Amino acid sequence: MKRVVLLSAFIVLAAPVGAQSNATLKRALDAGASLEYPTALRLARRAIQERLTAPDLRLAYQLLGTTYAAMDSGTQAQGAFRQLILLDPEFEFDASNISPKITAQYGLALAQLLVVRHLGTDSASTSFVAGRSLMSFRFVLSQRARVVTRLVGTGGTALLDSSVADPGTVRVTWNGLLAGGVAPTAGRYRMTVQATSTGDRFSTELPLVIAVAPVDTAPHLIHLEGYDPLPEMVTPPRSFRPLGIAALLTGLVAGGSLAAENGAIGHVARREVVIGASATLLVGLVASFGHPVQVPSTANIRYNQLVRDQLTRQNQQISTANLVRRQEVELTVTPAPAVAP
Amino acid sequence: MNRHGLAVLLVCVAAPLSAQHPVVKASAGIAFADYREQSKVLDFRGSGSAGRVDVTWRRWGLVAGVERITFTPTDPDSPAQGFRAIETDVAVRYRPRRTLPAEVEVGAVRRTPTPKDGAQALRAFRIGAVAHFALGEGAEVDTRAAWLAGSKFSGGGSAGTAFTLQLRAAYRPLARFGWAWLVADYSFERFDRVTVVPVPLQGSSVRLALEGRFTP
Repeated sequence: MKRVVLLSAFIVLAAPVGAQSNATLKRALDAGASLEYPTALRLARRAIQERLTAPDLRLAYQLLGTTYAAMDSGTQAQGAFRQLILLDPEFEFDASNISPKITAQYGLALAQLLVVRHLGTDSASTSFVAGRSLMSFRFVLSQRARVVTRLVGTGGTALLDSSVADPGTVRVTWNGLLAGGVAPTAGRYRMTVQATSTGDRFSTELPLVIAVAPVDTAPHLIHLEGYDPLPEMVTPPRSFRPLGIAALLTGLVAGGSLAAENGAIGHVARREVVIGASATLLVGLVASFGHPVQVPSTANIRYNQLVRDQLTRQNQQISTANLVRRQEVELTVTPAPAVAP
Repeated sequence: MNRHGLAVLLVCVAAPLSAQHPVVKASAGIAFADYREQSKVLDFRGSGSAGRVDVTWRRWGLVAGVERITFTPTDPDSPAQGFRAIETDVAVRYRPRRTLPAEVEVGAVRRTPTPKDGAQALRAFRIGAVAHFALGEGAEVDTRAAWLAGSKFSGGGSAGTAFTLQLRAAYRPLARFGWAWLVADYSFERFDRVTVVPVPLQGSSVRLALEGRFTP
């Protein structure tokens, strides 16, 4: 079983065999795939002595490390993997296909070097408002080291972090502002990470494209949701109070005048009192039963005033917020492929 | 002093007037009346014209009215002759409390018959109160009671008990013409006049008028 897993590591190595331009390396890979370890080692070492392209050189050290690991030669395996890591720090074995014997040696080799790997952002593209939100970057540090993270570009520079970090994944945030608190201009930038340990130093960078756009302003409110204005003139409910008052006053005055008549000279004519009383009762009747006239509703007027005041206050707050927003910029940061110098 | 006093008075009156305009109510219409004097024999009934002006400013009010009524005896066989009476009244009102719809009123009443011996000419002071009731938009009722003090009669004598009761209803038929009101004004008055013997006077009238209300 172990033999099968080791074999798969060599098959993975031999898969792109057709792409190799160096014949010695090609033969070394074939030997590795045939599990002829001494031959594979000899040919790989010879190939390294020859003039190899960078990918071939990486492949040669990978074959060398894998073969040593398969032969349980840990020191030699780690030495070969160290060379591989220096050539390609981002290299990573597929742990599901490769023997733990090999990946363990690779891990040990990695721990012996100071490298910063897998530098990137959490998403393919990040949009945020400069000075108001944060954007995070992450990378993997192989050793405890002082790490200085910077953003460098045509618009200026920004120091994101300078601290001692432990091995593992490190996260650094950026508030979108450059040195001096200014927002960056659109263009190409580089995120550089420089790690320094005792006698060792490593730096890497991530090219970025930053696009700049104005921040959307909020529209003013026309009405408050759920607070519709109430009618300020309302129709009062029908009331018999006017008729009652008219009847009471008519009774008082008409009855009073009839009672106060001087009987010695006879009763005065009823025509006047009947006309006066009828007119008063008619006015009371019309006031009670006539088409009710709309009257101002104090409660509704006050409610509407409160709603209007609240609307004004909210629009003032929106205006103030928009003033701030107009001075802000929205940044869209996208990792970009490195440009050849 | 007079000039200075007049100037101060003018300033005192003009300053508030400029701040708050008075409300003027002017009405004109027809009047029906009944009048009795001395005994059941002197019973008259009549009709005529009437006019009234009422100015309200802040808590104060001034009212002046005139009625011109032609009376004829109710009994055709009565020996009494008809007469024409002109009754004028002037009064000043004051509202003691702004929130209370009631006013005190002081004024004078004067009635002049033509011919002079057709009926008693009289004059008296009026001291009373008015209560206003707004029944609704465009509907009002006023009631008034007053003591008629210091009454003087052309035939002599005096009246220890004399009073008047009034009921006034006003209605605005059309909201479009907010100035136009219809008014019915009923009034009853009684004088317990005494010379050597009791010779009482009693009358009632109703006035139907069109009233215009303005704010100059």
